[in-house]
Amino acid sequence: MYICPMYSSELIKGTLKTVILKLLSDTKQMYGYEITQKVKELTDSKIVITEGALYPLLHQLEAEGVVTTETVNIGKRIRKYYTLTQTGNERAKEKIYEFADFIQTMNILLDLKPSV
Amino acid sequence: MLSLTEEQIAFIEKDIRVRGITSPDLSIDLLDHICCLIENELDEYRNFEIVYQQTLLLFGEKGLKEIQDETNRLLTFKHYYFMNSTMKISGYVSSMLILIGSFFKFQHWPGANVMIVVGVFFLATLFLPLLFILKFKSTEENNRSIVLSIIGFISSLLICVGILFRILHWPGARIMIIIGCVLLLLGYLPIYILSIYKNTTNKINATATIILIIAGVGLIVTESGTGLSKTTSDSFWRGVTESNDLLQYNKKVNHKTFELMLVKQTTDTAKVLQIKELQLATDSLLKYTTKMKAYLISITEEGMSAAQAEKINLDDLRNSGGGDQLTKRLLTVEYASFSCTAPKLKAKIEGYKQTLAKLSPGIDLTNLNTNQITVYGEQVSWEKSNFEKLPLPLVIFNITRIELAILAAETAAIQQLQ
Repeated sequence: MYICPMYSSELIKGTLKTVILKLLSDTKQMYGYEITQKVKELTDSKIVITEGALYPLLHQLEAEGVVTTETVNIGKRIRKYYTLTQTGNERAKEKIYEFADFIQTMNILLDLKPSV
Repeated sequence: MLSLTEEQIAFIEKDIRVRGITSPDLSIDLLDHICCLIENELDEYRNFEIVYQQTLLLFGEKGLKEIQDETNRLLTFKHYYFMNSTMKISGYVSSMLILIGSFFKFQHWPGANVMIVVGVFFLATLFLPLLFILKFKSTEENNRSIVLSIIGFISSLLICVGILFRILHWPGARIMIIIGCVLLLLGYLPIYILSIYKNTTNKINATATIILIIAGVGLIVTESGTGLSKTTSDSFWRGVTESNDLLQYNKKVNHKTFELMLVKQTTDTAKVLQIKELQLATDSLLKYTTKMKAYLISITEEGMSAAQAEKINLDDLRNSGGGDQLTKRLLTVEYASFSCTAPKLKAKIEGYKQTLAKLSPGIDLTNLNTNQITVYGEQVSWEKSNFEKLPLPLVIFNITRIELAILAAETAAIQQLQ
């Protein structure tokens, strides 16, 4: 799924959706390449999203009505911007909350010292 | 960073299609994405072709096509939960319907057949296809599992539809059930046993499945075999159709006799009146019984009008049931006001007997006896002995028997009048 120089794919499998939803809820509309670049930039290249993981997921989210698309002509080619819908916004909150909760639980479970 | 030229973009767009991306929606995304990647890398020292090839390497060997496949998988997966829940619900509903329907059938309560038919229908049209599709999707690149689920689907569908046809008395039921069972035993089971032999997980489950399949097929076969043997039932049906032929023949003979008598007796008006009265009484009673038979056939065989029922070939009623329904219509107070009931038939026979006794005193009417009869030491009323809890074929047969007795009595009366 991810090309992730830092983490095992096993570890972050299933977080991609949350990441995309979070990014889209922060920035009103993004296109695919922009998302990959943003993740790379924010994580200092620790997590790199591959196209093979990103686009199938975006299309699934679109089919579920979580995101809508808007096409803009960029010269000869078309750029597709993805935007969260109303349900998408709620889903994003849900997912982020769920993940935060999960992290907390893992903290307790693994007895992690909070990093300073 | 350089921008790509129109030709270069057109080239990439075409190449994406060549590489197997058929979804226009996805190709828009990929085209833009690849263009962005290339534009990031491209400078005046590097050739477009080389950068493009390097970019494609990022996608791996089957790269682009893989993305489309993954997208399709995810999109079908979206329906997965819906299909899964529909499958479960339809499975529960149909099995409950079949179970309750069977219980009703044992109790001779109304509505049993409807429940079983609806249950089997849902099983065959919703549950089995969904089960097959979901199973098919979950098994990945395993030829044996695919063959297994196809055979399983076809054989279970055949058995289900066969049972449905049997309940509805449609032709072809028997052959469907047989083919389904054979396929299950000789096709599904060996492959299944082979697959669990190789795959050691869940052996208890597998053993249970095998036993269930064998027991199920056994039950279906036994159930199909119950009832009368073919020769017995053939012989009975020859009796039914031949009685009917005999009835028609007697009707014709008596009719001819009447005509001859009327020609001979033109002078004796009193006799002519007597002959006509006898003829009228017999005709009206036989019309009533004919109407009654057609009515009973039409209520048992769904969707058949009384007019169609009158012309039906009796042999087509071999699998007709309708015992409880007929008992209700013929014998209960609820339907007492209807024109075709057992008490009304009895009253009409009594009336006919009186006419006969008046026209030809001393005539032997024992064949038209409507008194109680003794069955296994128990006194049973005439109505019950002829109509209670009997399937349609037997009810029709009994009415035909009564009709023959009427004609025999008429013949006797004719002889006395001559």
